[in-house]
Amino acid sequence: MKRIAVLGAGGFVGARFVEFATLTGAVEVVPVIRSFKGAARLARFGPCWRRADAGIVEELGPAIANCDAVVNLTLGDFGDLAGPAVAMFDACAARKVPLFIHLSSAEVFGRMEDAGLHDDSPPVTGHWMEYARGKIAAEQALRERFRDTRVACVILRPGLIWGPRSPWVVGPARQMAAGSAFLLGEGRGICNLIYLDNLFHSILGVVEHTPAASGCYNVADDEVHTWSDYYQALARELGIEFAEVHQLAALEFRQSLLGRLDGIKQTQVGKRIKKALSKPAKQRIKRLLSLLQKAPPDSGLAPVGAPNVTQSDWHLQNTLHKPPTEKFTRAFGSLNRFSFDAAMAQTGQWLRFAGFARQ
Amino acid sequence: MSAIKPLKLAIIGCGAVIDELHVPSLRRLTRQGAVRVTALVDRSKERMARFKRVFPEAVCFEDAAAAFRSAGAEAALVASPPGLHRAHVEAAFSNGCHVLCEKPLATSVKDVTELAGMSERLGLILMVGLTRRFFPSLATAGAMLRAGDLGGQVEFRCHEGGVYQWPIASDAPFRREAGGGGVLMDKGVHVLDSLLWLFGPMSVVGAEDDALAGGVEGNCRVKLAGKEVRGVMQLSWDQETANGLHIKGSFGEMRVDPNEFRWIELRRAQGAWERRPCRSSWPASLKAPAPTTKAPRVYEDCIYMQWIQFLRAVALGEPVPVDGRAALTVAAQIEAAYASAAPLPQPWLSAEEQTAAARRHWRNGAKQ
Repeated sequence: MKRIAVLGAGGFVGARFVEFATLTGAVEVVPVIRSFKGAARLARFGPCWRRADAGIVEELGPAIANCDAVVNLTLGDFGDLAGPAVAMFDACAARKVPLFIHLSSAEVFGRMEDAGLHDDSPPVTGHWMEYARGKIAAEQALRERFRDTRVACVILRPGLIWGPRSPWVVGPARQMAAGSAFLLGEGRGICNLIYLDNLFHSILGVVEHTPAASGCYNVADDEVHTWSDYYQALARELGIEFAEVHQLAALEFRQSLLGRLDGIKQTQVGKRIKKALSKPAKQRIKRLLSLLQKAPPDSGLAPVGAPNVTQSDWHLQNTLHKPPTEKFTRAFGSLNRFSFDAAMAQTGQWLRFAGFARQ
Repeated sequence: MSAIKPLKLAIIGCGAVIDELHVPSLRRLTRQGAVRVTALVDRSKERMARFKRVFPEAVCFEDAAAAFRSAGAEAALVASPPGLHRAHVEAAFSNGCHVLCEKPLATSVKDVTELAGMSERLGLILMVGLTRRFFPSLATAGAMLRAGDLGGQVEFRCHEGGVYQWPIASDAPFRREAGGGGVLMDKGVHVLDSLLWLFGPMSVVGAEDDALAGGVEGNCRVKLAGKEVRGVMQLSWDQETANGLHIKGSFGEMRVDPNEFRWIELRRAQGAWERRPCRSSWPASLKAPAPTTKAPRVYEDCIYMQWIQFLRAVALGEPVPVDGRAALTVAAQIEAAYASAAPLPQPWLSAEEQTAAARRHWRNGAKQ
């Protein structure tokens, strides 16, 4: 049985690895988390976690010893994803782990404007999204190690990972429940999805295929879906009329003041400022902001949810093409276990469990 | 702020809850002359050193008993892992200290009963940190329910889920022997206390969770029923769920987002949803007998008002919102839920995984 170290095991993808391994016994997983709070999603399986900073070779080494593969699912600091990725590769080399699988993102190709795009096409330059810039930098750093024969480095590029517990399911479900869900340009943009279990079986397939060839591989569900297709299917599962989804024009994006402030909060500078603020200072700001909020009148109709289009929504809903996945299939086989319909049926079960379906 | 002399306080356990919740209020009360932190207790010297910078007067101890013996404390804030609460509260009482204990008061009904009894016998204040009692949303909903605004035959559905974000200093909350359980013992104590406060006495009539042998639950569903009320409480550490409390009665419905301090939503029969402003306030000073009252605007205000209430109880003999007896009603239902827990159905998993999850459920292990 293969032994796989999963870095970032506290995330919803990592926790699915641990769940599958624990319940089926088909694979042995070593869950690695950076901080204790990351153990919350794993706690139901018993104390199985190892704590290590995946970006520090010496700290990671003991956790991945005797593993057949290391899978990097860490989210990390978007401002520096390359340094830790290289450290993980180096830790694999030092501990003689033959395979390093790095989860990148289809976002390295931006909105995929070029229909002829392939797995080895150059990434977009000057991407507006810090996350994408971080992923591009990490890919570039790892590509420089493709010739290192000690460790095979497989870079996988999923699009939006969906399924039970996914933010790409919870977000739209919450908006649909609140009446604030929206589609831009009738939802004709490509929704580049990969179902959680399809991604997970793709990763297992790569592990089973050892020795794998180093390279970059796009991964996605088999079907091509638009955002409208995706939202219609979600709405069906939630028992919500698709007509309740707001239809907005796909105009050029203009960010609101609040959106800009939120954007700043998400940058490294913003995060550093937030971290540097003392608790009392944060409290004062919070209280000040609460004073700016108007108290409601004695009675008034509850407003129906209004759409709030973020730059990320605008960007993603304007995706033009689905990236090709033939390179992955040629190298590792066709590993998607779930059709879109079957995956949506499972996701619907979880959405109803989580209380999002209309009563 | 007051003519009352500062209360000498020992902080037992210097983990995330102190940093995240109590430090701002305690600094404020120290400046006002209402509190003096005289002792810090933790096994980690590093954590104690951090708080020593905030409360320079405090002496650091690795052992609670030593702190109570030598620091001359009059009260204790017990914020150690739940599995240690009983020993720490007992040590505080043995040294004549009043106690504000973080939830849960203890991890078994037996321990909670004994601590509640000790507090009553010794005449010492025991307040449990169930801060939702200060939430304007829940106070307003409770007042409307008690006034009969929703009519009879009440049904409710309560979801509370979110990715666990506490910057904890150890994995104690995820180990049954230290934390007493999982999400039910953690978030569930708050939610269950709110529900029992809103709807009156209820008993567990069904419980399901997803813990395997050796683990603690990350998701649970508890069915509750009382006189003319029944409902479901569902909790998660995994992911955000459709959070909030939805109540239906014979006259109408109510939607309560506990964390929205400005309004709750109400509708009659099948009419439109309306917002009703929250109305509740708490004493904001130690002055007696007519204190100024304020409505909490943010969560941190609730922590501050909790401290004011504790200090008023010590100094003026006023009752506390949640004492040992009130904590006992929550502990009893939690223990009942754990005792009857069945595997949580997870139909989104494969048949093989569902079977394994049911077979390896922790209660099956407990029965063997």
